[in-house]
Parts: sequence; structure tokens; C-alpha cells
Amino acid sequence: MSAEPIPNLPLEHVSELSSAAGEGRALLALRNQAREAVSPLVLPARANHLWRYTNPARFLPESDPTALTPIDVGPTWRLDEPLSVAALLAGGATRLVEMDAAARKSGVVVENLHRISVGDLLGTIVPASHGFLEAINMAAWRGGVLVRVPAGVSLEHPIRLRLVAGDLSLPRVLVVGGEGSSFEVIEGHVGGDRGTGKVIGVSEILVGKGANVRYGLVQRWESGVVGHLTARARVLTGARFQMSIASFGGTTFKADVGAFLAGEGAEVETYGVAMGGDSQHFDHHTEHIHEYGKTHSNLDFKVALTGSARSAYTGMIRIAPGAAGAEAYQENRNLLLSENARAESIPELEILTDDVRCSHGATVSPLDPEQLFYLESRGLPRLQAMRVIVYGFLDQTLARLPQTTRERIAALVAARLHTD
Amino acid sequence: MNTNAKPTFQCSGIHIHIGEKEVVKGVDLTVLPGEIHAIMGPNGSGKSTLANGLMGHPAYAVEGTVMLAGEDVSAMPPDEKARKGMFLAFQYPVAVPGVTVASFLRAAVSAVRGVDVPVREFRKELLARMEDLEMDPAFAGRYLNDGFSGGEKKRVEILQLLMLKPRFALLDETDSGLDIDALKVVAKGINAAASNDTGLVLVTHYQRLLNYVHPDVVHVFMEGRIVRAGGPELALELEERGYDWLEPAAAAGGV
Amino acid sequence: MASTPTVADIGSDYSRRYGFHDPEEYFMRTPKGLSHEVVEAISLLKKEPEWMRAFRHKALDVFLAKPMPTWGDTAMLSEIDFDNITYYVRATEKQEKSWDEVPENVKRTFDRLGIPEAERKFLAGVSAQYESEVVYHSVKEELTKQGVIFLDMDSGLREHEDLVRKHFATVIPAADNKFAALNSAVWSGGSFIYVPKNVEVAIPLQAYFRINAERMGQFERTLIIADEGAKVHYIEGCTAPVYSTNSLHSAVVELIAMKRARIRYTTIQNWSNNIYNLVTKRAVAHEDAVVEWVDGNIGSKLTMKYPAVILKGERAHGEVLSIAFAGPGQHQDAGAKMTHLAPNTTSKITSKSISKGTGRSSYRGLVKVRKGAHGCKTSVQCDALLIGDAARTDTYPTMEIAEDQVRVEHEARVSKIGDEQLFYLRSRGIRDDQARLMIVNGFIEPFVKELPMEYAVELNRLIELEMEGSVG
Repeated sequence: MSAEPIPNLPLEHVSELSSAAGEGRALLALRNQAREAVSPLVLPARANHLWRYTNPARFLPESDPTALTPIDVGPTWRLDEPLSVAALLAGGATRLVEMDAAARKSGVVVENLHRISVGDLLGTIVPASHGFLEAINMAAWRGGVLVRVPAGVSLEHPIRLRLVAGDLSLPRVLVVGGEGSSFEVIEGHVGGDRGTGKVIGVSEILVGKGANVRYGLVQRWESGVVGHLTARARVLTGARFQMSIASFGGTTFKADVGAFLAGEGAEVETYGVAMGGDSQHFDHHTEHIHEYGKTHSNLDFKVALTGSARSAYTGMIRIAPGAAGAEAYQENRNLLLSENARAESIPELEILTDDVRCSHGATVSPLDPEQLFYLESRGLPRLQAMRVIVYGFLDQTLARLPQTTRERIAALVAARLHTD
Repeated sequence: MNTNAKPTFQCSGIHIHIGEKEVVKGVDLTVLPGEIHAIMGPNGSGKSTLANGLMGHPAYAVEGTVMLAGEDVSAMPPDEKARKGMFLAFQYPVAVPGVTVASFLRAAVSAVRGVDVPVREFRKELLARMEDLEMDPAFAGRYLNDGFSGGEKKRVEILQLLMLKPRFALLDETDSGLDIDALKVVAKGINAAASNDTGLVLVTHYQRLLNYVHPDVVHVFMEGRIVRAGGPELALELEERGYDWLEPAAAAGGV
Repeated sequence: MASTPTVADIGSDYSRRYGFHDPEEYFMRTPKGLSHEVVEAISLLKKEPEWMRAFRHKALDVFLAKPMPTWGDTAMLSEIDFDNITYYVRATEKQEKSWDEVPENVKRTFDRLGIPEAERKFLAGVSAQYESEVVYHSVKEELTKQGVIFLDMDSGLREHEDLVRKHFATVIPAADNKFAALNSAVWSGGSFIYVPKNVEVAIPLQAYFRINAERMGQFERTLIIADEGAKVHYIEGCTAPVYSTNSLHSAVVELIAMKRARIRYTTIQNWSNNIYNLVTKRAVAHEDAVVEWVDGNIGSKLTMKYPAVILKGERAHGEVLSIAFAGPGQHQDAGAKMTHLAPNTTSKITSKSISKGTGRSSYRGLVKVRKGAHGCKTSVQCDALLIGDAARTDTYPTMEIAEDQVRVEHEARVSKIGDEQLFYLRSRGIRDDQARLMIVNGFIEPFVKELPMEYAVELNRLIELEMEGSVG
């Protein structure tokens, strides 16, 4: 065993941070509990496969994240599409909130998360016990937004949250979809213009009974950013949750996303695409936890790598005892486009009851030379033929997303393909 | 056809529910030994539900009485019904990987006849029946329905019909998805069974098979009921005119 | 001394067939617990060369220093009481070549297990290990003439020291894992096989392992070397009496397949349900060699076993075909490892498991492709069948791919016995329990058809026993 230095993370100014942000006692109590959970700080063992491929110490802030450092003002944001809600989080604060008339009229609430009166939902889906980074976020998060869509409300246009990475950002998002509501939220992560930045983000989504929520997590940081994002949804009886995750940027990025199917008939779909180049390091973990019977989940995660990029994908499907009639499918495909690219894949199943249908598949392969030849024989230059194949590979997954989100992510994929 | 014979199969007051929905709404049917009946009806009319329900499919709640050669078999599980001489040729026979056609059929034949049929004797009989159906003997060693084409599956269903020699057989869309040669082979098997005094009900929505198998009675089945019964000429009429002209009868609740 | 056997939940006649135990009459046994004194005593008794003695002591230090695994069934593992195990038990004074000379009590055991009968029927050679030592060994004459060496490991070391020294622990070093270290310290018995260049051993060689004493550990060590172009099939079977306390079986098996060699290693593990079966099995396959592990795990309380092939030479092929049956209280944590070091190597893993009652089966696998190993192909197929709503199955596959010109595939499926399959079979007159058995037998058919007839029949019978009373 190598003798790694014992990590130390000071969290000295929790109370000041909380009061400066105008928080109530409940939130402060949550922060203090979380601080306890990481004092002393114990990093997860590397043998644990969730951290086998990425060193947890990489995500540790270099300074006390609760220190009230001056805040740099984030970039402005030009809105060029119809949105129900637009909210910008930068420099540890909510910078902009806009809401269209329809959303306002139907009672949609977008609030500064620091100011919410009760903390009864915050931290219930991603508690401090989830992991050391989730605990650090809970103790020191700064800049957060609560989006609440009332029961029965359907929003025509998406809710777009833009989170800008600064030197050290610990954002927090809470989305609450009321019973029978239907809407789309897109959480876009940008920033890191100075070629540095560290992000520890946590998002929680509650999908009420019979609701239909689409949630997109799009990460396109500049090179140099090191970030960890955790997102979890709790999906209640008869509700549908569709999550899409698209990973493009940053230098080291680890995502831990998933859903609890927490009521009979809940349905979850997760679609992921990740494109890595240069020496980017991606580590994605997905989880579908079937707590109840007659639940259905499907997961399709695609990774395309060039340069000396590296990707680790770990997926867990868990079917709890008694969750009869659960169905779960999981697929992870990796395309290696260069000699030095590396991919790891660990799609796991834990099935604790018999009345289930589950399957998973994973592949790692190079570009199909037959496909390449076919396209070249139709006059496409090699590079373009490669782009067409990679685009097609990812688009099979994107095809299942809402149209506008698909188009936006597809545009990012195309842009990425033309720069590599 | 033996007109003085007692019915080999008789059902009355058959209602079948799938969940809350009533799919079969009262069916009575009597079949004598060696008789061939055709039940014809449009897609989705509940024909397959009737066939599976009569055999005792666990997903269906069946009301009514099913008699086999005078014995009430209504409450029996499917394997007991089979041992009493009832047979269902499935529309979509399921694959059982790893179990060969021969070992499966030997187990079935032994169960139905109530005696352990010696391997040699069984093999001889199996190969003879396969030859009747123009099947490659290699089929005996293949895994049951695993990777079989549609036509192969149907032939294997007919092979089972000939091996198990039931008193009464329901054939659910056994003619669908067959080319003309396969259809002739299947028809040959059905006629052979009938001449062996098996009573048969062919469930179909095409008249095609009836060019090779001549039914004694044709029933028209719509919306969960038999709405009309007649001789072979009824099948031809259906072929010509479709089912639309019978709709009022269906709505009125049958004849 | 003898305690009353208690019947564990393993089908009604395990006790009658294998679960009996004979009075523990021993020629020699070490005191309980593990120490350098015990290791010294074993080495001394065997009159081993100095290098082996040193190897054992070093291995013991490794064992003592290494923590228990932090993965797998840590709860079950923590129940092992290493201080309450006898590490070496010898029932007879010497090894016999004629069945009649085997001491009556030991012979009775193997007679009841049908070993001499099997030997007459279809084996080229047989080795029977009782507790720590091989008590009977016989090889057909023509094999000896061809230069095939088939000995117990202790005799192998005495008679072919150079060959053993050259290869021993080269595939699985003592420090590989805690249990390999344990085996390295206290190993006794097992088989040593050498097949010379281009010799094909047409009929299988067999070893039969039997634990009779309570709270004893069996640590056999097997080394098989197939020289260039050679071909050999080795089969092992294992049983133990049903005691109320647990015993430990921790073997190390090393296979070396030189250029163009083929080794098939078949195991039918049917330990009683109170044996911890923690085994390290690994092969090295050189250019164009083929290594196949055919691995059936029916018995034991906890099995942790991941047969591995290191594909070291170009175009080498590795295969693992395994089934596991986890009945109530059992955990079969089995899997496979394939390490592709050379270009154009191929591997295939097929794993089938059945979990019944509270049984748990886990597939744990690793497929690794090293950079530069271009043109590799590997596929993994896991199928799990669950019987009963308390049954559990896990799939933990790992794929680490550092080379782009490769094809790696993994598929897993989990299901219960299909209602439609059951209805279909029952509609043909087949009774519910028989239909279920038929489906289960069909499920493991791809494995069974790879076994010699006698084993296939025996395995089907075992599955039948395990399936008893599983209706519903």
C-alpha cells in the first residue's frame, strides 16, 4: 500500500457562510451534520470499484470551501430560445431568473435555495451519507436553486439552468415535480475560461406520483476544469423520469447519476453520451434502484474516445427483495477511435428477487472497417466518414430525447467532431 | 365421421377474462370423435384467448364447463388435461433451449400414455412420424423451438399432435406463416389425426387451410362469441365477403 | 472423536451418497491452528528440499500479513476461524498403487464413491486424495511409455524436482492473494502432470478429492504442464461428509500450455454445504495454445473461484464454461478472468447460474486487454436463472481495455423459469415439477454436453436432487 498523505479539508466557516446567505436554522443544521460526516475526512478505498479508476483526492478543494472569498461575477447569458424558466448560477449565487408568463401563471416557483424555509426535502435524495463529496457539498454548498412545478402543471418549454464553474464551485439544485406535472429541466454546466476550476455539484430531483419529468445534464466545461457531479431522482408511483447526460468538457470529470424507482409502476430511462479527446478523463456511474414492483428501467450509455482519452463506466441495476415484476435493461457501448484511448466498463446487476426481467450488455470496439469502407466507397473522405459513423453511433442514443434537447446535444457532438 | 359417437369434447358457457376485460363472452361447442371444426374470425376477436383459456393458461380466468369424453376437466391444470387427451397446437410455440425435441417428446409421450416408452421403440415411432411430415431426422436432436423458423415450429406442433394422439386437439393459427408445401404437410397431419378419431378444432382467420382440410362445421367467431355456424360453404362465403356482413349478428349477441 | 453428521439442506441423499464419514483414524495430524511450527512439521515430514521449505515459510508470512479480502461475501468469509482448523492430516502411512492395499477404512470411502469402478470404465489414470495426502494412484501403462508424468504433487517434487522447481508458483505466486499464500504455506497432495511434446492423452486423467475429518483444511496443489503440441484433459471431483462445523478447501491450480498445446480442466465441485471453497486457478497459454476451464459448482457453503487464463502468446485461446447452483444458504461467487497480453488472442466466457431459495450466485469477472494486444476478441455471456422470490443473483463484470483494435462483448440476462415455457410443457402432459427440471436441465445443457458421459449423468442427477421441492 502506498503511503498517501492523510487528506485534510478545513470547513471552518460554515456558520458565517450560512448566515451571510441568509439561511434559516434548518439549513445550518444540515450543514453542520454534513461537516461531522467528513471530520475527519476519510477518502473511499480505491479497491472499491467506484473509485478504482479515478483518484478521489483529485476532487478535494485546495482551500476551505466555506471561506467567504470575494465572488467573481459570471458571464451574461443571451437567451435565444423559448424557455419556461431560465436561471443562471455563477460565482456562488443565483445571477438571473427569468420566467415566462405561462409558467408564472401556473404557479411555478424558482427560488434561491439558501432562502427556502424548510429543509425537509433538501438532502433526502442525496444525503451527506452518499459519499464524501456529497457531504462536502452539503456542508459548504454555495449558490443553489429550487425549482418547484405544482401538481398537474405541464410546461411547454424547458426550464434551463446554467451553472458556471468558477475557481471553486459547489452548486446545489433541487427540482420538485408535483403530482402529475410534466416538464423538462436542462442543467447545463459551462465555464472554466481561465483554464482552471473545481466543481462539486449535487442535484436532487423529486418526481411526484404520475409526473413526467425529463432531466438533462449537459457538461461542457473548458479544458482544465476538474469536476464531480451527483444527480439522483426519486421517482414515485406511476411516474416517468427520463434522464440524459451528455459529457464533453473538463479535464477530469466524474458523474454519479441515477434514480430510485420508489413506487409501483415507476419508469426510468437514462441516456448518456460522452465524447472524450486529448487526455480527458471521464468516469461515469449510473444507478437504477428498483425499490418497488412493476417498475421499468432502461439505460443506454455511449462513449466515444479519441486521443489518449480515458473513460470508466460503471453501472448498477439493483432489484430489491419483493420488487416483483421489475424489468431493467442496461447497455454500454464504447467506441475507441485511437490507439491510446482506453475504456473500462463494469455494468453490474444485483437481483434480489426472482420475478424479474433483466439484461445488460457492454461492448468495446474500434470503428467498423466495413462501415468505413462503405462510406469511403461512396466518396466520403476518411475523416468525414469517421465523423459520420461516430455521429450515428451517438445519435442512436440521442434519438430518444426530447427534440430540442436532442438537437442541441447533437450540435455539440457535431462541433466536437469537427474540432478533434 | 362417426355420427353415433358421444362427444369427445364439449364446452359450455365459456367466459374468459384477462384482468378486468371480458374477452370471451359465452361459447358453447360440441365436437365428436373424428370431426373437424373450424373457428374463423377476424384478428383480435378472442380466438387465441379461447384456445389458450380452454387449455388452462394461468394468465386467464376461465368460467364455464369443459368436458373431455364425458369427464369434467374444467378445473384441471394443463398437464392433467393433456394426460386426459387434450392438445393445443400453439400459435407461437415458445423455445425451451437445451431440451431436444426428442427428449421432450419422449417425456411428453410417456406422461400422456402413462408408461415409460422404451428409447428404441420411441425413436422408431418418432422417425416414422417425422418422415410422414417430411422432416429431416436431424430435427429430433435440435433444441425445442430454439431458432426454428415459423414453418418449422408449426411442423413440430403437428409432429406432437401425431405422437401424442389426443382425443381432442385445438389448433391455434397453425396455418399462418406457412408456404404452400408446408401447408400441405400440416394438412396431411391434421387429416391423419382426424382419421384416427381425434376431434379437431382449427382456429384460423384464413380459408387457405380449408382447401386441404375439409371441416364438418365452420363457426364464425367475432367479439368473443360464435355468431354463426354452418357447413364448409360458410368458409368460402367468408373468403368472398369478409366478416363485415356479420357485424350486426355480433352486435346482437350471436345466433 | 467422531461426531454425528447433521444433514444440511442439500437434497435428500447427499448424506447417504457422500455425506457419510468414516471414523477418523489417523496416522498423523498436526495440531490445530497455523504457525511456522506447523509449516515446519509438514515440510519435515515430506522430507522436502530446502527451497520448498523456505517457500512455505515465506508464504506463511505473506498469509499472516495480508488482510482478508474486502470484496465478495465478507460476512461469510469473516466466519472462518483459522485457529480452529487442522492444516495437515494423514490417514495412511504410504501411497498405494493397488486398490487392495489401500487401508480398509479409506478404501471403503472411495468404494462408496465409486472411484475404482470409474477408473476401470473410462479413465487413463486416477488419483485419490484423502485429507491431505494422495492415498491411491494409478496410471495406465501406455501413458507412462509415452513419457506422460501423472503423479501426486509430493511425488512429483521428489521424482522431478527440476521440472517442478522451474514451474512451481510461476503462474500463481504465493503473494497473489491471501488464500494462495495459505495454500503455498501448507499445501499437500494434488496432482503433477507433464505431457511431453506432441503427445495427446486421449482419455481423461482424473483426481478425486475427499475431506473426511471435521474442521480440517484441504490444500492440494496441482501443476499441469502440456509441452508443445501436447493435449490433455484432467477432471477433478470433490466431496466431503456433512458435519455441523465448517471445513476449508483452498487449492492452487497452475496450468502451463506451451505452444500449440491444449489443456482442458474439468471440475465438478460437490462439497457438502459447510465447506469454504476458496480456490485459485490460473493458466498461462503460449502461442496458439488453448486452455479451457469447465467448472461446475454445486456444493460448498461459499465458493470463491475465478479460473483465469493469461493469454501470453499470439493467437492463444482461453475459455471458461461454468455453471453454479446456489441452494438455500449457499453463495457461489464464481467467475473468470482473461488477460490478453498478446495480439490476436481470443477468449470466451460462458457463465450460467441458478439460485434457488435463499441461494445467491454471483458472477465476478475481469477481461483485460493490454495495450498492443491488437486484434483480440473476447465475449462474455452470463445467464442467471432465479427460483423463488428470496433468490439472489449478482453480476460484477469488469472490462479494462487499453487497445483500440479489439472487440469486447459482454451480455448478461436474468430471468426466472418462464410461465410460457412452463405452460407449453405442461400442455403436453408433463407435470409441473418435471417441467421445471426439464427447463433447468435445458438451461445448463451447454455445460453438460462438454462433460464425459459419466459426469453428465451424475450432474443431471445432482441437479434433480437440488430441484426437489422447488415447485412454486
